Amino acid sequence: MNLEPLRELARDRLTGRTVIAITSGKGGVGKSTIASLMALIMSRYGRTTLVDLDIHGTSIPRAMGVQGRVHEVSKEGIEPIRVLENLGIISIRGIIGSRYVVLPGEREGSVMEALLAFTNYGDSRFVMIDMPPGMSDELLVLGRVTNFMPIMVTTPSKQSLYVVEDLIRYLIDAKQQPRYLIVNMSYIQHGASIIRPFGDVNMAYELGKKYGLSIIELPIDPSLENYIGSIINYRGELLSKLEQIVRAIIEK
Amino acid sequence: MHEWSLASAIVDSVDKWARDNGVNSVIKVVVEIPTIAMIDLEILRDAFNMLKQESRLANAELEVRQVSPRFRCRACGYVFSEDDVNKQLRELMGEYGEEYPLHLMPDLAPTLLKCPRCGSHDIEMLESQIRVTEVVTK
Repeated sequence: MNLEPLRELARDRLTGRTVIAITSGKGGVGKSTIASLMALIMSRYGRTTLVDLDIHGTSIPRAMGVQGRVHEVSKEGIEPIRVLENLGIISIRGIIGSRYVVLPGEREGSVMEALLAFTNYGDSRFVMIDMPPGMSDELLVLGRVTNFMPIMVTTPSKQSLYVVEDLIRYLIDAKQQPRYLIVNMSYIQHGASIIRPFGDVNMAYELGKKYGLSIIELPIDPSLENYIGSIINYRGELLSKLEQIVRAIIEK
Repeated sequence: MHEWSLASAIVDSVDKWARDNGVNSVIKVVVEIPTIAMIDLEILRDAFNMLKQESRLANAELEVRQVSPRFRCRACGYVFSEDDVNKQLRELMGEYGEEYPLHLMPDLAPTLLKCPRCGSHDIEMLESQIRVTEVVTK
């Protein structure tokens, strides 16, 4: 008898929803910020659940300013914490509180699967997943339960792009072709001039051409730091850039 | 409340298995549940009996076997049981109340418990998940 009750529940609960995974392979490139902002934009078009699957480095509750809140559990499952009428978030932080999470590898996948299975997505049309850095259980677990749409995030650094290329190749092999590569922290707008503190973004464009991804360059917006804890109030330039991707996904 | 999600997972997975295997009626489902999850079996059965109605499990009874996980510390090799971490578990329940994390996710045990001998979190755990071990069909 080889039944997987949690896997089946996760599959059932995610069926019929658009599942988008913000992923990189590399850490520190801005996945959680981008996932938060994209979820905010998505929620204008339909109810959205943002799942923080980065169980060791949970960032979403802090970005949203709800780090002290715990999830309620109803008959329907773990209830997302509502940050807007149309946007709820789910994270391990809402279950385990302020404790650190150190887990042996063989437990990580099961915890991620439980998080995906027990969430009450309600009438969410969109499920946005903030993936952890690396190429590990999260990719396998998510791939088992849903046909997700990956959106890649990198910085212009070659160190990041080499790792991202590995992940792109894996995703293509797994038949999860990514369509977008967001190059975060590409430039700073200073008056009329553009400064590229991490060099040019040519390698990103080469990868985009090689693997069929559209490139979206995001600027460094120093004001963003002021919105950690209240990111739902951010109205800066990153939003309009990310809105292009959201619109394209919705129109599709 | 979490018992309802577990019952839903059991009914969904067995119903799918029955459909895939051409089974029209399931009469018994046996599941193993780790004791550290502190599942209320009465609520689980009530939820199972409600949720099974529209499925191929409509006439099924639920048998639950509670299993006590076994632990082994990778740092010092100590093999221990739930009894050995009973004090830690009671403290956790006091700290978190009804929805304590192991109720929702027993797999979190290594981050919440420490080896009673050396204090390491590097704990290997067997029998930590809900499992369907037997399905009896008509």
